[in-house]
Amino acid sequence: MLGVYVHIPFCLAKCHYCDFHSLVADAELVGNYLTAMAREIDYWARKVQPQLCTSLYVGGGTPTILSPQQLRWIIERLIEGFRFQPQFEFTVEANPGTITAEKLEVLAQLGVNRISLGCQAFQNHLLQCIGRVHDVQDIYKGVALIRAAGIQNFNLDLIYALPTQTMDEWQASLQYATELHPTHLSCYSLILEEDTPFFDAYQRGDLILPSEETEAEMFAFTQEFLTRAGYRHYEISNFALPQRESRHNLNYWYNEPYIGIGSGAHGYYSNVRYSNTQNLQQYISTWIDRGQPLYAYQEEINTDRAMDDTMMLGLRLIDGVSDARFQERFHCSYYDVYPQEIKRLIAQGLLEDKGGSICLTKQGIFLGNQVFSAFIR
Amino acid sequence: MIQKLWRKRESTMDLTKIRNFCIIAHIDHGKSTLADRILEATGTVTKRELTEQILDSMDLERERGITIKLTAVRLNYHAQDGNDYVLNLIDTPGHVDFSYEVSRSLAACEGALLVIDATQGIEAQTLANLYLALENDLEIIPVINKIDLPSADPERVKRELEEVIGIDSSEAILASAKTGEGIMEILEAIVQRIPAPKGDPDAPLQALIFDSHYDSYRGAIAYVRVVNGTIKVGDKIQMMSSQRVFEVTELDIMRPTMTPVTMLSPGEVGCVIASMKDVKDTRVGDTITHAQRPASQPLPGYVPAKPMVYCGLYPVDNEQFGELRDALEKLQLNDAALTFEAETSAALGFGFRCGFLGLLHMEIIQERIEREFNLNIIATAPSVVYRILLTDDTELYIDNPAKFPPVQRIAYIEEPFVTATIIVPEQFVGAVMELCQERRGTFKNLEYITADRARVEYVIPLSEILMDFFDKLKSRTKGYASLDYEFTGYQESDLVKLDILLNGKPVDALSCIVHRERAYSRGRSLVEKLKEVIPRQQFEVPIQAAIGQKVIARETVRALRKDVLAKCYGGDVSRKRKLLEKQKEGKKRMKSLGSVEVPQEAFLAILEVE
Repeated sequence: MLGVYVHIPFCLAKCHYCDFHSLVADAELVGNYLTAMAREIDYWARKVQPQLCTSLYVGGGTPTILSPQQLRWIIERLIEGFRFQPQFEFTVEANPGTITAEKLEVLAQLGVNRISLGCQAFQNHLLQCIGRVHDVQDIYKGVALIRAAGIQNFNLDLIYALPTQTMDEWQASLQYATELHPTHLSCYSLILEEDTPFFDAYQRGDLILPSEETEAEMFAFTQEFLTRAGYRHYEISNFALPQRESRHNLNYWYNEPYIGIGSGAHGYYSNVRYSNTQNLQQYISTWIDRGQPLYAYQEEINTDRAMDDTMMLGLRLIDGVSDARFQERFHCSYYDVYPQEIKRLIAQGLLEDKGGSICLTKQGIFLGNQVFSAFIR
Repeated sequence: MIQKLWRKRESTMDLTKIRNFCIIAHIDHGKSTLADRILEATGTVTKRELTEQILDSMDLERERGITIKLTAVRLNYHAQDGNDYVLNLIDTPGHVDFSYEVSRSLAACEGALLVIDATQGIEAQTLANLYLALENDLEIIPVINKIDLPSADPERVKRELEEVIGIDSSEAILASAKTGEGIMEILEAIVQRIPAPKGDPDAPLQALIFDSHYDSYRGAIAYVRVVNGTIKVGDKIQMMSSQRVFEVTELDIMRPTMTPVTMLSPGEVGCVIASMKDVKDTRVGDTITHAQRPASQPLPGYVPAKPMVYCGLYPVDNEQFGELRDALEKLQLNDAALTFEAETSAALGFGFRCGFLGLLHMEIIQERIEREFNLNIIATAPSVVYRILLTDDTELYIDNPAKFPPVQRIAYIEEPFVTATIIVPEQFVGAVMELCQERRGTFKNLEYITADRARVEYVIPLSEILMDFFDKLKSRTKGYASLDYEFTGYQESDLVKLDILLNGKPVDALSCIVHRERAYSRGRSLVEKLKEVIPRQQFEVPIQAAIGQKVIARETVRALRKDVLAKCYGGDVSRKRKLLEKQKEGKKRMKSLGSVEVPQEAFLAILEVE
């Protein structure tokens, strides 16, 4: 398995909770960026050949901020550069405020078969509060456009534990979201990241967040509600109709390699984890002038580390980590590597052995960090 | 030239040309700057060397984590009377924990410079050390320092000198260690006013150990002042308290670097190296004599160092017990006052009960164990030594609340009391008295040393001083109060043992001894504090305070409901890993008590609650 992630670091405006690498766009900069990225695509495509890639994911930022022409141009570079498996999953992230029929048509034409739509909430006051550029009406329009373009496989992103958000509001969001019949739902709890407006407001005491209890209740409700609606809870924050799990993301959780393209993108290839420089000007100039990557960070992943990562990521999946799969990769059982940790976590009721695989218990799903951190050596 | 004078000499030194002195000063009143100026003025070191030397020693401190002190320095001074004098400047520690060490340093001198900050006036510590100096019959030379500062008020300090100490203020020298003003006057005063040492070079050897330290190459080094007789390289010497015999391999004087000499005669100050394994062989206050021709009496005043404060030290990781013992053994090499013995705690496992001279001493040791030996330790709250009389008339000394006998076996309990002397500007007298009352103090004396400064004396249980008394004192007096205390003896108190239960199980390491009247309020604030410091766990954790079987306060740490990273940002696995590593690191510093994870702070919570 080999995923390809492409990062479009532009937005119309930055959301208050976002510490993701993104900038407010400017026409010339975007043009130069795409040119630089085409160089990087060539670079990796040559490296990876003749291996087949299994998924392609264009994320951001806001990929749909690009014009139809720009979208076409960069996607053509990707399709021509890399070789993909037949029927590979091809996702593009979309913002309800920036998608148009024309853009979606271009995407569908070029083989995009999955859209991830950032809805976040179904209450205008909450959308405003978190700094989104769209309103609830845009979500409905967006979904209609996606369907009109013939793309049936789409995900809706939702966030809970937002400032001032009530349980009722969250329940309503889930209700409205499922009424749109997405194939997949990602429900994230709000995380305060440093260097975001929310973090600063919280530090000043100006941000009222739901309590840990409310957050836990919201999470519990989400699991119950979506399961009843026919979605399978397959990862801590992700729910899907049968066979509609995100293959690109599963690849991360299986700790398999992926190429990251674009400024600030992360990759994991031939036992090295890397991230590209976040400095857009530097990213552009190194690729255009020298045709070389400029990494912000690079780290060789040895076997021990790869084992740890496999556990820490794999246990996010509700099915857990298969010992057979672990043995196939590392030639030993995880019971040989983490005997005490597994024993303790099982005794604590956080982990459960399903015979052939270990996975989080119901309580473990809520307290995942307690489990993941045990596998870090 | 000096080598010619001292190194090859076979005769004893002319006593009349020796002056031994020390400097008594409150922290920040300019002792070290003054010492530096004296070293410069006598040409002992140049300004350049002084800087280098200070820098070097700081590097060394950083690298090896040892505290280097200028224990004693020999200065050569050509006085106005035309004679050359040898001046020995003996350093004294500045903290109340080490007052015994101070008294021994003072015993090695005939005079003292009493340095007082012209902007601050006399402080409690200065006074305490001054009294020690007077007890040792030292000639006092008052030096009013920092007169260059605009806020200097030398006239007020002079009044304090006359009124508090009864020193003729006309004897005071006005100086500024910063500008160098008054330094020559000080040197002349040392020669003229401080008496020359007395001593008989032919009498049996009596040399007073006033300091010692451990050197990994040479073993324990004793800093001595020879009182009678002479000591030579190759001599067989005997420690009068332990009777142990050693052969002198090296004698040095500090100029200020160690310079070997062949002998030391009466009045001289130097150090003795004699293959002594650790500083237990060179107890401060002990007398060195000759094995063949011992003195009939040791010099007066030797008291073996006696710990006043105890606490349990436990490795967070039980497997590091051996490493902790090694660390304590290494520290003890250089610190005869540190005592330890193995103990077990039901809650904390295997560890050591350690004895210290005082709180500062305790903090220094704890910090050195963590920093220099890289061990994570848990320190239990400090305890004094309680004297308990049992109903069957046996007497017990208990330094660990966990070891208290059952209530029905106790006839009565006594605890150590100290006389606390606090010097404070008059507007804070009320605040100080209030604090002392809160801490079960008994008023003893209040005296205005000048119109605007007072000396307050209270008799207070030592255990109350251990509970952040000093911090409270500082904060309630805007930092103006200075404190000194002296052990006065044991007195009966109405004390009870307060137990803390986590998840229904008593945690022996959290037990404390409190006055009955305060048991309820302390129990309450203790469980509240513990609720703050104990993180949420997988289960609800009840925290209870109890006296015997009776629960007097209860709080609950609610269960952890949700702790999981929601999102793996665009494949940023390294960052996620770092977050989890941080979480795991935090856990490492916690101790598992049954199924409850307790951070180190919890064990010190006892100290921080009112």
